[in-house]
Amino acid sequence: MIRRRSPMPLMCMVAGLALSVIAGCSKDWPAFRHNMLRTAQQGRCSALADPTKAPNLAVRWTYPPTGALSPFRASPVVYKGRVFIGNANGRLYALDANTGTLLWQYPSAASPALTSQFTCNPSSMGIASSAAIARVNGVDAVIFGAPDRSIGSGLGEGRLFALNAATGAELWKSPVVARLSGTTFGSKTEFHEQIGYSSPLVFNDRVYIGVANHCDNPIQKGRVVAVHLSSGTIDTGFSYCSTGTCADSTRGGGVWSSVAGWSDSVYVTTGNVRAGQTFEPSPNHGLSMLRLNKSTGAVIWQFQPVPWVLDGDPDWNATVSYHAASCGAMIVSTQKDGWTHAVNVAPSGGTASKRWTFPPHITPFSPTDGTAHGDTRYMRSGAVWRDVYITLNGGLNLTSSGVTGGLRRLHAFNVCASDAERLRWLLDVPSTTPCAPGDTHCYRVGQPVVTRGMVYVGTDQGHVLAIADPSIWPAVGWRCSNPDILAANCVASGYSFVPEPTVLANVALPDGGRIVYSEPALARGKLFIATEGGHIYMLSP
Amino acid sequence: MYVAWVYFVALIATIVCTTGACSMFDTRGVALLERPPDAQLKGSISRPDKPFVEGPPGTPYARSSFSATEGHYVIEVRDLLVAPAQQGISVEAMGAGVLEVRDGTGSVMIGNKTMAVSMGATFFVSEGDKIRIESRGGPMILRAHFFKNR
Repeated sequence: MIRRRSPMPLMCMVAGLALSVIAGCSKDWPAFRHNMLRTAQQGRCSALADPTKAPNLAVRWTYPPTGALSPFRASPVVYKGRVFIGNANGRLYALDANTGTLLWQYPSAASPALTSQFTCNPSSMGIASSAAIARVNGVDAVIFGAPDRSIGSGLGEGRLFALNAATGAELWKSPVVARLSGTTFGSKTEFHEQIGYSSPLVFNDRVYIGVANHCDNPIQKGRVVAVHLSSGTIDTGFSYCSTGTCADSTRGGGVWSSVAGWSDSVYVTTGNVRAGQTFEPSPNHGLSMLRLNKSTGAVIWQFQPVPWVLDGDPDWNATVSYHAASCGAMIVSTQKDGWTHAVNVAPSGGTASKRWTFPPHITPFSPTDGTAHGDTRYMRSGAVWRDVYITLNGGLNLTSSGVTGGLRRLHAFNVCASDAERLRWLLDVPSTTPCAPGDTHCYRVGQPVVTRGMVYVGTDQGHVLAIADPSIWPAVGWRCSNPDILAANCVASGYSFVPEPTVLANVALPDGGRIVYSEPALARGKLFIATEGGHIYMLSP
Repeated sequence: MYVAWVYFVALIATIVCTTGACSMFDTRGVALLERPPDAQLKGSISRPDKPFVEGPPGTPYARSSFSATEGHYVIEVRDLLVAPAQQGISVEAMGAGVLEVRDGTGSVMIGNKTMAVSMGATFFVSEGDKIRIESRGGPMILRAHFFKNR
């Protein structure tokens, strides 16, 4: 008698594995901030997560091996042994993850590069948007946004591309998603939209991307555009505009960040509205953290800590993280003014339900509370590990000493703790060279990522640091929670001691190029990072 | 039977993978970091660039933020920290001045007049005024801008 095995266990295993991949359990780094929640967390075990091995971190290959490309502002994504990244020269590169060998580039060397005629900051130079991996009609695809002079006005309007990840062959190209109808600075009759600061979110059968502008010259109406994953055509059922209606002439609320997604919603942050405008538009979704219906774009809740009257251009530039903590799910991000905010995923009576702000403060801010909210460069996204959120933040001395100190300092927050125990640890990232006279924003740290308590981050001096949460490796010491207070006076002054984590590795990359926009990608025990010196490096312990 | 066990172990491993250690939904939490006893507390090497310095008893922790002499005038900008453990501090205005609360809440008494203040509040003093400041619920930091004719 032949007994037929039930296919159920196999089906369960396949389903589980599929869920595992969907849920971000990837050993790879298939998206900006690793996954659709934008947690910047590599959950799999590897040598990078081992504090005893991290000190051995060293460069294993460099691309290009000789010479240099233009600066990299995009971050690498890694999938099935390939590294994908766009460059300011307008080309996307696919490299062998083990050797750094070039597999293909798009467009080919013989074809025009993907560049814009309107260039004013790093987000408008070639391909600044990080790519994302997806399955398109059964094919592994790499999807990215870039300007393209072969469409529309011919000036470099922004669109999305889907390429075969194995060959670089085109699968589809979207219609224009970011309009560029002229290059006259300040023109209010031309569209000056761009997508360089937003990485595509692949979420179910849609791809979402945020639309901002070219250097506020002038500000444009912020939008999120969704296209169909299978074809790249615009999903006309989804519509989000930051001010007024999508058809009116109001401006502002540029989406300078990447969209995050989970369940029935997508999450986004928006930029300034007041620049060059006399009246506040209605509605005004600028300078906000937003939860949107993923199918329609309708606003489910809005958290706007800085009201119109205080809008000094603190664009909310950092991408949000969906933080599924032990005390509940929250959306966390740091605004450009140096304040970090956590908002419950679930609304309260239809409005946003704030969980906490650091440094602690009542929101919305008011004109009489003494706070200032300008373009003070807290633009980096944070990383999520269990109940810990690692980010740049203005710190407990934000209002008393100004905003610049926190730009070289990493904060880790206990997201579920009370305000008194919010700060988990504090680290002044080591600097190797003095700041130039008058450089008030020196010294800058890039976007942290984390794997099992090991934090990796680049710096504007071209270093990669490995930092251990004190729960996995002893702290180097304890310091006052307010960076302006001497340890001897800390408790008496009304503050508390917090640990300073140990920097287990501090690797100077050969080109010394800044790493403030690009994030490290952690995949299968390897760290991939790109610099403004025009190189991609692979490091491993 | 053996095959069934293989399936079972694989399934469990997959479930663990999807729900725990390697999922982005890692809701296990993490313990807060406990401060060691004072005797074992090792200070870090980090030092503030411009620390507040303890003054005589009854005075605030202070630091100079800006100081200049121009013609007949002395301009002194000082940051004052009033700790909650201090039962109020006293400052004598070294010149005509404006004080602004940069952090915290508390009360200020100038002469016989007492006012509650919080972050963002500003008030004016005359040279020689005796100012008594108490913090409430935590440290309070003020920035004092004094102007004095030399």
